[in-house]
Amino acid sequence: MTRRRLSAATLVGLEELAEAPAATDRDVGASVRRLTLDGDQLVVSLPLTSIRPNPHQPRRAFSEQSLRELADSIAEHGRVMQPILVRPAEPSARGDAAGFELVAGERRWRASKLAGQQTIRAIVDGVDNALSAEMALTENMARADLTTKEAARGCEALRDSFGLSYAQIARRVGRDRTAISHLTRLLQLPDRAQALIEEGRLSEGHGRILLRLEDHDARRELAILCADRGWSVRELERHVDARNAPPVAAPSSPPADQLAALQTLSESLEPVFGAIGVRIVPRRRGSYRIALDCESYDELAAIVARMRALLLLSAAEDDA
Amino acid sequence: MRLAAKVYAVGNEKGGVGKTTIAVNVAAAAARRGARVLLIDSDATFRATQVLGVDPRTVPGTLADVYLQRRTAAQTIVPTAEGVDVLASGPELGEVAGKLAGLNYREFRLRLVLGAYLDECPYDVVFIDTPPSKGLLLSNALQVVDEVVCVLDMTDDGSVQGVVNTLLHIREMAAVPNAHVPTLRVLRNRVDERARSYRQIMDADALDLPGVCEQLGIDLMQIEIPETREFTNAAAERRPLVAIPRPASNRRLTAAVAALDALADELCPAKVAAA
Repeated sequence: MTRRRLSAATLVGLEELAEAPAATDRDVGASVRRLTLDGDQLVVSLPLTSIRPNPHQPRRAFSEQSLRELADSIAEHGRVMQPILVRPAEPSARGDAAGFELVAGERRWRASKLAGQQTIRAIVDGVDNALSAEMALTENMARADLTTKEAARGCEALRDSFGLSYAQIARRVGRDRTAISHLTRLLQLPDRAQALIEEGRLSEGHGRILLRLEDHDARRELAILCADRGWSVRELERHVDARNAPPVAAPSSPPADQLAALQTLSESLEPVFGAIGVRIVPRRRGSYRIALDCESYDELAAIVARMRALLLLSAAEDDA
Repeated sequence: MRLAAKVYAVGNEKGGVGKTTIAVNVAAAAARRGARVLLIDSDATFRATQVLGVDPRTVPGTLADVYLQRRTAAQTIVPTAEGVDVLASGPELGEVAGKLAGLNYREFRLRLVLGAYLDECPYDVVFIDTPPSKGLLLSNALQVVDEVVCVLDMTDDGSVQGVVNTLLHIREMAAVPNAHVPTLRVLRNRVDERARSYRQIMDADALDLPGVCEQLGIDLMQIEIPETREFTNAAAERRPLVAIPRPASNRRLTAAVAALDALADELCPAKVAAA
């Protein structure tokens, strides 16, 4: 008779549990129990230290003054008026305590630290990586105080990290596709030119015109000139076009009498090639090209056969 | 800044493993050692309330009133002769569980009404006695505790499955946004090396308990609570074991009290000298 003894094998659910132990509050560094309802949303108080910025946050520049103002308001009310949005962070490869990652509210988080707060009111969401960056970007773009470069970086992150097309990005952030591709193209500008746009000394429109220049150094040089002299987009366009004009004068076109002669010459070839168009085209430095335009392979084959026949004919004439 | 109270649930989804006995006794032991202790009775059979000498019919209110926001925790907690304050349970707690089922955030109701209080309460340690079933009263309790002390009855091999079920419950809740995820440690109860069932549970060939705990990433406590009839005798008198005068000759009783004291020391955070 077999004994029905308790063993690991008889425990239901053991394997499931052993596969991936859930991160506990201790791992997460949050042990505050206070919880409130804000409308229909659960709001928790999280230690500021348990939160880290969103690595996909496109926003990099925070004006010192506006942070200070927000910090003062937080210190006065003892809390942020609008809870920030966080999500549980993946434990990092470096083994940092996992904690939470900001989805939206980096400014409120920084200002709370400035205000000397220990905790911040937060809504914890379970959004995935792409969605988190997307939400940060979308939220920021909606506020429209994101700098051009920040917006461009955000779009690029969405494209590179999450494989979204410009059309998809545009749809999600509520701008049109060309605006998005213009935005990301600005990142091809030299750093100095990007900085000028960031500082507001050049517009995005200026940036787009600068991109017409092929040369990186030329882009930088004109960006600085343009900012210094306060050129309008139209003025800049004129300077850029001047630069783009070929450095040497256009090849001197053949004299008028020669051009007339070319017409006669090509017409004189008509009996040879029949319906197939023959063009004699002047090229640079007084050279010419004879072009035969064939509409199809058959036509080409017919021409080659005809030329061979002519060659044989003239050879026979020479022999004679 | 004062350290927040450490909050424990004493639990196991398997019944009859000694949750209430351990909860009441460790609370009383901690109180006798000078800690400020609160016991929250979250079991609708209100056994812990009774063992602490409180009659659920005469208390000003119970945990049910706190759940339904008819009273605050501070208005409801009563002192007991054992030096432990109690947030009593009463028969109406069973109905509360039913009412919770129809609410939004039904697992978070206790945290909503009690969380802020626990963060700032005047206690060093709080124990919550939990019901022996997977239900909303347990889910809610799990949301306000730092740790679950899971009682493993060494004479009942079904209580091992109870530990696994409790862990599965915690895991399930961890998937809910905003959920707290308490850690869990296992406390061996009714340890009696002479018992055949005890040897079966400890038999490494059958179930390697330390191995299983390690595999699950949970702490198997070194302290063990010995088996003794004195627990039953004390409960019959509606008193914690540690409160009963004991003859030094009763070695099993002395051992049990020593184990409870050690448990109280381990669970109660070191008291920092007042600044």
